[in-house]
Amino acid sequence: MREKQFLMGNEVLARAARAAGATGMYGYPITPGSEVLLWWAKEAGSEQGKKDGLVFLQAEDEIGASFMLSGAALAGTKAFTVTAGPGNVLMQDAFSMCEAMRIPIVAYINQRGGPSTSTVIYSQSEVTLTAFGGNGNGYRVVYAPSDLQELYDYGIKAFNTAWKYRFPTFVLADGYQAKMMGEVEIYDPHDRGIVMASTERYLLEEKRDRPIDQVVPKPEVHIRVQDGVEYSCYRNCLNLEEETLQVNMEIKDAWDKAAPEIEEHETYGDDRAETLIVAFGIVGAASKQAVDQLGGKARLFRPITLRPFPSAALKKAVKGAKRIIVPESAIAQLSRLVKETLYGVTDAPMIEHHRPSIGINVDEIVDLVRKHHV
Amino acid sequence: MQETFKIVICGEGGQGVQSIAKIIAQAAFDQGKKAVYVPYFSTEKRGGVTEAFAQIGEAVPAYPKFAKADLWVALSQRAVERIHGYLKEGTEVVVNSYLVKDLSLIARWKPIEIDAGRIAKEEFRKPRVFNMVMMGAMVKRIPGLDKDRFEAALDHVFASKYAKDPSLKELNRNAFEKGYGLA
Repeated sequence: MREKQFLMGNEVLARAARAAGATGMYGYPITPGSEVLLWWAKEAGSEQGKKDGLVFLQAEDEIGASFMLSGAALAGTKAFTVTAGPGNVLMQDAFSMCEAMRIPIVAYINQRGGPSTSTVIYSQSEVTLTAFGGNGNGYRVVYAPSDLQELYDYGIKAFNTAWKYRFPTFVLADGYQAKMMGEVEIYDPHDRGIVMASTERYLLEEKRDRPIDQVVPKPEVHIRVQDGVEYSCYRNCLNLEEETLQVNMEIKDAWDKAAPEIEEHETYGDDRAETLIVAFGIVGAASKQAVDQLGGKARLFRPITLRPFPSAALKKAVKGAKRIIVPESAIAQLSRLVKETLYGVTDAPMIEHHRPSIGINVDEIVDLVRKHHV
Repeated sequence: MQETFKIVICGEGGQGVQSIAKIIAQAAFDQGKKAVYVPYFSTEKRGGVTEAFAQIGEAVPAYPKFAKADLWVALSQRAVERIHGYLKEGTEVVVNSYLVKDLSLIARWKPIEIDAGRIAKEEFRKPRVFNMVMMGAMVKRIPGLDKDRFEAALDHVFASKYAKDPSLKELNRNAFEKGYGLA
């Protein structure tokens, strides 16, 4: 099982969902994510797929797909979607509802160029949309893998986070990661001692033996029986300002408790290095190589969760840094999060290297560090 | 062999740019090398220019793109301009001279001209095998790849096509050998 395979990122994502025990996939094709749908459709139609009850549904559009996904998760199905760019925009309506009702959907997002159709391959410009795309007061988890192995690892982990903490959970990749081929180790999570969280008809939380009045937000369920079929009708809107405040604060409390357990980051390089690079995803991978080439001049802080953002760890990492360099394939999306975190914490100047929708090579980062190194 | 050998190939959509790069990267992996491949293309359904990047070596990095190439391959005239920026001192340049007529931009790299379009048409009577000719030429120029094992890998990739039309196997092999011999 420890053998490495040569696979495309989208196949790695699809296999991660399969390994995590997902059974439902609802989507609408878009570059650079369509191969996930293709792989899942084929798997669902295979003998084993049929035996395991896999569902594949290509909806009429991303709006339909994302609400089907939400419904599947509400009904207790471990389900996911994949989308990108304009598709990610369309799905935000359902994702926002998932924040309100804490529906544990999983979405793989393969960032492409923006705004609008733009380019079909690559960018890092869906950070703000993916992390904060709802219409406010919502909470969601966003993982940002940096290579093919992490696509697999976090592709699996996303399901556990979603179902354990009951927040919609995203894996934010990009078109390079999705379309590239390279080596990756595919494993069965059970062999690694990874226990997969159980699923259930979500709002009732029966398996967790949690009284319904302790579930946040407290669901209101109306059971209706028609022609012998039982329908559970969940309330998904609030009426009063006071109630809205109360429910929002309850969800916030739940998030504040969960966030420190969810936050992840990586630091790399000599911690005495003067220059601190903050980068995520595939630019994080390039930065790591740059650190190796710079021989002690620079170190890396790589947020793995973009939400919750690993703020305490970044505040610690910035100590001793004489300058902070933030390279990203977008205009001020990661750097906005960094500034928000570091306000009042450091006097080190921040050099923002914004390259919307274009890759940032290792050499480019090396040059950038050298240019500012005094 | 240097640590990582970087390859860029560019051409018109439909010429097989992505397939060539994928097959080379996969074959390198199968031969025990480290390899990574990434495509770049645009939104056009047809008529677009498409680029592919592959890196092969003993320790290939996670980041799939690079600034300068060791092997640079243009399958069409438009490709020459598109990937011109990936040239450096010492880059090996291979062109499909059937479509790349103006070499002025790349003259100083002394391009290896493979008239793959003409060879495919006239010698093999099958225009589509021009990319097998180009692949043969490329493999010759990539250090550390075993030719026989590469050809065996090709048989594997096209197994289902060969099952339907066994004559394709010999045709592809011959086209590949032809390109290999020319580079």
